[in-house]
Amino acid sequence: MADPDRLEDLIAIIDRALLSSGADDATFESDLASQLKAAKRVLQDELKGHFQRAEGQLGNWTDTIQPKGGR
Amino acid sequence: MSAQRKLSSIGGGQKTHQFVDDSNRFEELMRLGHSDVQIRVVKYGEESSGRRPLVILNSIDFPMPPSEQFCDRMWRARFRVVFIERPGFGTSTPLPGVLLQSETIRNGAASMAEAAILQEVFRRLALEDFVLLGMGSANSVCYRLAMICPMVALAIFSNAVFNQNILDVFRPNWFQAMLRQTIQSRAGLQIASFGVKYRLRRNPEGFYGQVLQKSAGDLGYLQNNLADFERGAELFQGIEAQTIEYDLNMSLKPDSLLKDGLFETTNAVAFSGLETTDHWKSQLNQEAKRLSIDVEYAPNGDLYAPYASPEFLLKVITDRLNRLGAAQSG
Repeated sequence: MADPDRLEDLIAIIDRALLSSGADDATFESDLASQLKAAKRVLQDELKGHFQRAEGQLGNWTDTIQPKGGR
Repeated sequence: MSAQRKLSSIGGGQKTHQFVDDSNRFEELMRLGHSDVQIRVVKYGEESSGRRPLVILNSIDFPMPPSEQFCDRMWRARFRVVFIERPGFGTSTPLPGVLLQSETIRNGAASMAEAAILQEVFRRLALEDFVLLGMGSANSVCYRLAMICPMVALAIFSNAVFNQNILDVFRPNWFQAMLRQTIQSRAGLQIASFGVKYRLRRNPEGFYGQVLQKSAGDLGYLQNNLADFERGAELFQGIEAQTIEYDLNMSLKPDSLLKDGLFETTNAVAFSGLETTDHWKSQLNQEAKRLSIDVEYAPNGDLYAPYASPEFLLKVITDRLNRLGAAQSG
């Protein structure tokens, strides 16, 4: 599991590469642009998965310390 | 020329300097962003020298900068060597595992992510109008950099495999069998990478001596720079199996980017040594023709032809840059 900070840094780096190569421009379509976008998508999915797992763990933890019906 | 000894910070990141040896090569670990991602950069001489950067990216077999003698020769010809250790090659942080899956390797996303990271390093080092030299397995990322980085004036693909079928050229036979294993199965890769690491740990000189046996120029370079190869062998121990799988697959399997005529409008040249097999040369010539790129053959060396033939390398660079300048002014 990659460190979320590292994933965020890499996404920002890919965004800058997309911008500087003109790949964000809708008229720029190439293999390179689609490869960059594919890498970004994979990293974003991984980051999203990381936060979903973290939320799940947080939910389990709050259930544990505050049982339903407790004071 | 005095070497730089000052600690500094650029681009919001942190970097530390440390000398490789008593020479004018010095290295830094450049932090990218806010996380622990870091890339090792080795530079020769002073930044303010006004020389054109010659940026070198390593092949999997030797994650080390070229010798001081080579760097000094480039310096005298008004080029400043800047070596960048690619992500995952011993010191630099590897690409995250999620990018090193079979699909992201096959569709080029992993290689393109690496190109984006290296472009970020170029940007932070303020490198402009430079010559990019890709060694061996670095070339899959160099093809991409040559096409997306406007700051690359000329790209040299040294010992680029392109989409050749060239496993037969590797010597000795046990090394060739090992390479086949690495791209056929993940289990084979694990065994092969363990085997290479073991051999490199026990006897780096013997290992490199066997792999470089085809070329007197490469063997001479090895003998003159044994300490660098010993350090390279140490760094290889830190390369994860996923990085090896990624790098060898990008080099030894077809890359879908390499379509006919790809380099027609790119300022790039393929570079190889004459001390190799006829099979390699005919395959390389065939691929170069298909991709619309010229090939230059250096008199000495094979895997390390640019390092073994520095005068020839300089001639290729200056001829190409002059031609480019003439085309721009004309």
